[in-house]
Amino acid sequence: MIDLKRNERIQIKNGSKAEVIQKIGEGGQGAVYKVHYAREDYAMKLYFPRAIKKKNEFYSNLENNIVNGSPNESFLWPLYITEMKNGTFGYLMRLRPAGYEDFSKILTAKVQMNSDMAIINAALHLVNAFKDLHSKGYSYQDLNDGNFFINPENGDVLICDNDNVAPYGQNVGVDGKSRYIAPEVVTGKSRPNVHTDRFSLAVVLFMLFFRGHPFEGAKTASHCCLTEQLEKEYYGVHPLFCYDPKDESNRPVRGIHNNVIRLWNMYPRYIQDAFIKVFTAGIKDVNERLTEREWTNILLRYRNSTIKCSCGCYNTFEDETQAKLTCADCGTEINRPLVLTINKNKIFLYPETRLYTYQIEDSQDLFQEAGMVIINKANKSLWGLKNLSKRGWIVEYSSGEQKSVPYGGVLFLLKGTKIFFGNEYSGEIN
Amino acid sequence: MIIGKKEISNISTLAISQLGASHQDTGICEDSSAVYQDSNMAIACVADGHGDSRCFRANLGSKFAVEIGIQCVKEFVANQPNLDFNNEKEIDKAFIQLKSYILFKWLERTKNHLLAHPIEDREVGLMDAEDYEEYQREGIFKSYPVLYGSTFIIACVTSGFYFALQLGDGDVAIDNKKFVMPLPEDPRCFGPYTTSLCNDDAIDSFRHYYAKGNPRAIMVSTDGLGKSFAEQQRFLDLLKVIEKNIVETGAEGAKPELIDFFERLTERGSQDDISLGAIVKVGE
Amino acid sequence: MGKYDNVEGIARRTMILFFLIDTSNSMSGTKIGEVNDAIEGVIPEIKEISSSNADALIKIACLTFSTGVKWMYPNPVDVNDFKWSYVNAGGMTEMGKAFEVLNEKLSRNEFMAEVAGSYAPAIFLLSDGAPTDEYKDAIEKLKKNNWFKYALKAAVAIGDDADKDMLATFTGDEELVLTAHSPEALRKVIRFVSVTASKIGSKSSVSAQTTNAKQDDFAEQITEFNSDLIDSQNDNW
Repeated sequence: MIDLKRNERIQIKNGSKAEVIQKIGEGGQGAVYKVHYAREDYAMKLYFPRAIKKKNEFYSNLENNIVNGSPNESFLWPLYITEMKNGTFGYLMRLRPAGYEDFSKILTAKVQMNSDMAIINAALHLVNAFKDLHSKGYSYQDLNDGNFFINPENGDVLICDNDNVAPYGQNVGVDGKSRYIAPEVVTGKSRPNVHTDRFSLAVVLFMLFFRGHPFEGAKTASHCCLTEQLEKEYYGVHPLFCYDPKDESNRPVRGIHNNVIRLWNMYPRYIQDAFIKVFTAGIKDVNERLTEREWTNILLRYRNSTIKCSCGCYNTFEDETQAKLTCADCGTEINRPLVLTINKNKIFLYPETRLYTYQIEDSQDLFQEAGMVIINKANKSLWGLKNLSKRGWIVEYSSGEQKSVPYGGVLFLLKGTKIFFGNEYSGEIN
Repeated sequence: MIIGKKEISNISTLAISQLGASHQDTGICEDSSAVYQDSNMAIACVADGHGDSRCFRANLGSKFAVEIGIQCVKEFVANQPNLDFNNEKEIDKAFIQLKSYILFKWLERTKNHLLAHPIEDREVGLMDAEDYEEYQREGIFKSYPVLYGSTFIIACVTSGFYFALQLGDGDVAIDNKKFVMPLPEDPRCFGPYTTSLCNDDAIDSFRHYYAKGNPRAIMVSTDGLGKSFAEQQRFLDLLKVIEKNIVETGAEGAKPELIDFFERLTERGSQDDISLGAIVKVGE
Repeated sequence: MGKYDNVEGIARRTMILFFLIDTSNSMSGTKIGEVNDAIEGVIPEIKEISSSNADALIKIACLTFSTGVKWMYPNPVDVNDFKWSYVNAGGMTEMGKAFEVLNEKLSRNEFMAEVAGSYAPAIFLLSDGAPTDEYKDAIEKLKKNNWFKYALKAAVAIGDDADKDMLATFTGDEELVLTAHSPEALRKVIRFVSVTASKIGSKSSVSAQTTNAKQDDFAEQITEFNSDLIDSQNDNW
């Protein structure tokens, strides 16, 4: 396959021509170029002629995806398709903005996530992206460490290679990378679909949190080479979760799987249980795999109970009954702070803790900030909750006194305080 | 490319470990070294057991490291499926698997040794109190590898492809026209400090290098050799002299004088145990 | 006629003992006199360790600071060749400058170059008073220097008005700040720290991620010594 040259022009279907600026990358399926089209710069992926097996089906699927649009802002979605020419074709998409790193770089610690909060938010973005994808009737089919990017500062996620996205039940001939794809695909019993997506999502979340693979441990380390056959065995035919409660034979090995060993115990029981469920019962039974909604609830619970120690390190309370914790970095003991309960959300109120829009009104926005816990400048032991939302709140202290808290206003954090956010959303601090 | 299937010829291998001047009193050499050769591959391996008082079985640790290293690399070359040299990720993945395997085997061997040879009275005082408590309760303790702590370096030549793995201090030098040291440096191997097979993040300190071709020589050595020279170039000059001697007289012929030299070198230089493993092309 | 007779450049592993000495005005009189005497007296003991210790050769580098800083010799000197040059006191206490200069020299391109596979150096700070210049930035820089990080460090606060907290930011551990209340105590302290550092510094070690066994060892011995240190009842300063 010969690379396209600078200034070479490619015909866009139902449009004009895109002009090549330079090559910016290459993968197994094709090459990516920076191009200029309709007065803007885009990235263009052009497939190698032999890369796509069912060309016409793939082409129509791509066209459909373009017409239907991106399900969510985390997807780097195809925008324009080229004409079929010389036995191949391609599509245009937005250029990847700066600040995003390859997930594989984060896995190998070449790049560090800025904080645990960035990790939680990255997880939420990923799950959210899949929720939106699946709710539109699509499945991704090929999630792996090569096709998404994370902004290590804030956890924003960008998912690429969306040319493999296809409606449920249909399949465009992708097999998926064996370490990510569900066992039933590895063994050939099923083709990729929404359920296999959920499996891959769980693998990626595990790798994001624990920086290791769920099926790697003593068993996989006891081989000199992981041949294709062994890979199939360990990731497909008989995958054994490294923390399977009933079978210890694939536990992570000290000296080799040190990240997983160190990080597994730093997460609360309910997170560990979620992974255990997916990677034991969920191997054979697709209904035991957590749905995006279930993951979202778990992650939001985790985010609500995570606080930032003054040294900068994030620590998480298992639940309200935990009286205190020791900061993982500086060793300071932190007592359980006041907790604001709004419906199912239990938000631990510590300086810099955020309130989010979805908690105080009917909204799907999990990232927009609606409030923040701040320290009183005159009296450091006095903390308040600042209203950063679009609405005014009413606060009722335990004395009965009521006050209105407009945007920018602050209410004191005192036990027994009730806050009315409007539209039947209210919370109590205890 | 499938490695290790073609024959190699005219290769001479040599391994020497010399007791360091500072260990004359105990007579225990903490270094180990070994070579292996067959029609398809040549392997050289050295390991340096730590002098730390907590590492009181380090001489065994280095011995196991060398035995296991050679065994694992033999298996690797024999069983490695087609390696795509254009796919760096795939090759790195294969090496990570090999490193995990070597660590796994070494950890297993040292654990079995400890279980078969319980801590003796004279060894108790050298252990961390907490470790000893755990040992008394469980019969084993999490940091048991520390007792056997050692560095590890191995190099392998096959037809048209060669590679080296290193964990800890010491040197790997490769002669393609002149000696160079291509392995990435480890900032944690600094002054008297070194990373080790016994670290709980050992896999992260394991470096490697590979290339196509047939080098004139590859030499692996423990730090007792390199640290006997103030300047790196002088050390590489010495390796050139050693290579020349092996080419002239063959490995067996070169050994006696080299052993003699190392005996004097440790005294005048690093004082430490010195080990060298060499794979040298001796003809056309 | 050996094949290896012409091999050049063989060198013994070296440990450098650094002395950073406050020669400001407040040190003048008996204090500086005692420092001179104590260090001159400790050299022969270090010589002995160097010759009996097969592991390493010990070298000495000495920096004095008051108004400005000065190295006693341009390069670290083999303890067997080292001659203590008597120092005088007078001027300010430019400790910040001293830290800057130390940081420069703790480098493979400077003092640490000629030493084959150097051992962690031992750095010994003697001072009686607080710095008169900006030292906080200099200490932060020093703390990032690998050689400094791994070095065995100790400080001797001479007399009651020494700023022990400040000295503790240098050593990283308040247990490594010893106080000398009398000339005899000063001599004892200098001797003990130099000798201990020389013994420990020149043996090889496994690097541990969280604990630094060598520094722990050093700290333990120093703490023990400190508690045994008998100050004379008279404060002669």
